[in-house]
Amino acid sequence: MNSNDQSRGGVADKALQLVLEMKRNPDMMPPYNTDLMRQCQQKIDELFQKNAAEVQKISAGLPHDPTLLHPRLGAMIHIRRCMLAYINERKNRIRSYRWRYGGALPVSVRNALCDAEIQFFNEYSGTLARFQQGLGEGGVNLLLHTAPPKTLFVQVRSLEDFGEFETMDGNLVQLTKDSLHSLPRQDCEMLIRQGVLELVH
Amino acid sequence: MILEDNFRQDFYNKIKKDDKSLVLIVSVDSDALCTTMILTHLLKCDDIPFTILTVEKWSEVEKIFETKRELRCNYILINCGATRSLSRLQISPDSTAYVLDSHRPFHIENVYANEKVHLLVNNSEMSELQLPDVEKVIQEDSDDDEDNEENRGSYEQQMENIRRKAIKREEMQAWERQRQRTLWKYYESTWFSTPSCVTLLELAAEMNRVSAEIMWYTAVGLNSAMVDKLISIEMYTQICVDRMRPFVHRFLPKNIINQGKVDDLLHITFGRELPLAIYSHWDLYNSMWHNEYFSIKTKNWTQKGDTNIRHLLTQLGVTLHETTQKFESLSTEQRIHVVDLLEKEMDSAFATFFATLGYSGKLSACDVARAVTVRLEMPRSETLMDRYRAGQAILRSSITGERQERTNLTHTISSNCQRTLQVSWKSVSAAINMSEIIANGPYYLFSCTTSIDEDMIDSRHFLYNTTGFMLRAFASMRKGRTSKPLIAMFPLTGESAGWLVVTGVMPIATIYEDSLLKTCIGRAFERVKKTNSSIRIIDDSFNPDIIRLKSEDRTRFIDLLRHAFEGD
Repeated sequence: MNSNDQSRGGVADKALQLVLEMKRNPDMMPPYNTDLMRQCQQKIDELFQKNAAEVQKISAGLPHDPTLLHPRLGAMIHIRRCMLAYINERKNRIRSYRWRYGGALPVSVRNALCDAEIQFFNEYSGTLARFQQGLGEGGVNLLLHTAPPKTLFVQVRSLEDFGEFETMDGNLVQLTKDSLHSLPRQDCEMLIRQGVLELVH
Repeated sequence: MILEDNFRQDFYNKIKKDDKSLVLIVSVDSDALCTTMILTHLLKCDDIPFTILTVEKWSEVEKIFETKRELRCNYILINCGATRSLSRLQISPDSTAYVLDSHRPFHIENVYANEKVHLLVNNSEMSELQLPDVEKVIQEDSDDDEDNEENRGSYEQQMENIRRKAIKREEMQAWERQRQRTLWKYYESTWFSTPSCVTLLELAAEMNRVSAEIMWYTAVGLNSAMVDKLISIEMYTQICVDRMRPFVHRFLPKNIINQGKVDDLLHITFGRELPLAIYSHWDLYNSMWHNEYFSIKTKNWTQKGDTNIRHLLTQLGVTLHETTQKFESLSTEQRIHVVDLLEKEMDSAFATFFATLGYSGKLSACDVARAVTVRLEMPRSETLMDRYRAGQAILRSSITGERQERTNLTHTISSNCQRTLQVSWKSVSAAINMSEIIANGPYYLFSCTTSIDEDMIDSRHFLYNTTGFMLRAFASMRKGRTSKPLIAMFPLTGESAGWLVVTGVMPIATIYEDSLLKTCIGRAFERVKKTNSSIRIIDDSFNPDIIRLKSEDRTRFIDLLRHAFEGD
């Protein structure tokens, strides 16, 4: 602890910095901080070495000072925990990007990731795609239904003369330009994407 | 066919259970908009798919039925369709039409001859309708079977047959004459009955689905009929007392307090209000200046107008300072004081609904109705559906707290409504100052020479308000001007240049007599069209007393109209 007395810093300052970095940028992805991570690793190493030396002294029956053994161990665990929190938070964000942006990451995000993270992202995309394929017969695009629908029916406005349209329950609806309809959500999702209908509130 | 009562059973449950698609044909006016809002709310609760189509003219209704001929549909016509025969529209055999219309009288074929058309009428109104008996107007064709026996029998029997036939023919002719007379009397005048939204409110109440929102929509719809001068103040008050009363107390703050937080809940109160248009969004001076009552009282279209109105303010004890600043920025005590003074001066029994939501200011249903009506009818350059959606947004914004939407509402009031009032006042003052109103036999004729925005001329709100105001102002200038109707003509510009919009108001004397505001102007126009078919008239509007006339036929039209009135 002598070296730390001079700089008047805590033993886990660097680790805390990692966590704070994520906390202070909730909306964007900060670049992966290789430098700090390495420093944290070194810190754990250093503490471990010191503990190991102490343990050796004990087993050799030499005079020793066991008071710092437990605090050092606590510090090591704390630093590791901070590092894991950092990684976990980044992982969660990367996962949310998959849902937000789909398979292709924007360049700004991609540049902020390290290689392992990019690999994780690709694997996650693959897993998700496989999962979607396995649902039902033709697969379901889960990205389309991110928010739970409040009602079975939605109000839509027809933007062009589409002609007759049959809903799933067998009703015939005539879609003429500038008419408002209240239709089952699942029926009109396709037409909304085609630009025939427009959601109104 | 008339559905008198039990709308839930005969109307709502039927459309709910049928698996036919449901088409709402909505005329673009505030009452219809409010009615549709309530009806769609009910339909949404039951997960019934529906289609809304907006119409403004008869030709559009006809077109809809033409294109949908082979579909199986339930149609609901809102504020359109009752006054003309729907039999001609060829509704497909599997379809049914329900008509919820405040235009009166009904076309007799819709009442008796057409099983596919159901008219929704409140049974308290049946006596007012004065429907003629079936046998007097509809012919039964069951007399043909006797003809076959003609050849048989002796000479005398044949003579007997012939005589009998002659008698029958005579009877038929007499019946036909009688029928014409009955129908003439029946169709003589047109009027508006209770707004459709009140009927829907009662339907919603029957199903236990009344909410503050529905109540508010009804209040706005009812007030819009009042603002458009479709129903008289007596009738308005009567509806408020007879049919709205059970709902008025339901959404009072007193009753809501028990449920906890009052501030962020919508509550609706019913109370007295000055019959001054949009004064709480304007300054009092301007509002009074453009108001019918004060304008006529001070004759502010004359040169002395400004002095007169200041004089009046002094008499009332209202300072100029108070009247020229924005009403909203007056202190509360001042506001109450001034409103009190003006109320005594105007001596009106007008009361309306107010919506209060959270900390945004109190809104009167009357002002909102004005804003919605004006937005629905202007500008014409937008498509019908765009205007309908904009009107809907304004109506909704009056009871949601969102800032953006509120601004939209206040903007409409402060720009479009104020402008409509200003243009209305200007045309009246110009008409009187330049003595453009002339007596023409049995009626007064006003031909507008200045050009007015086409948007305004096509708006029913503007036309009814301006002509009503004009006739009163004109009558106030000299005595004995209360017994003749006023016919007003406004030239159109732009695309439809060369056409005139013609409308009319009944004489003031009859307005006082009759609480239904019946008018026979539409009938007179129709008669002119019948007597001379070469006159080019377009009567496509749902209101028979607003027509379009080709400018070249103007003189002939004026002469014929004179005959029509004299013949009455």
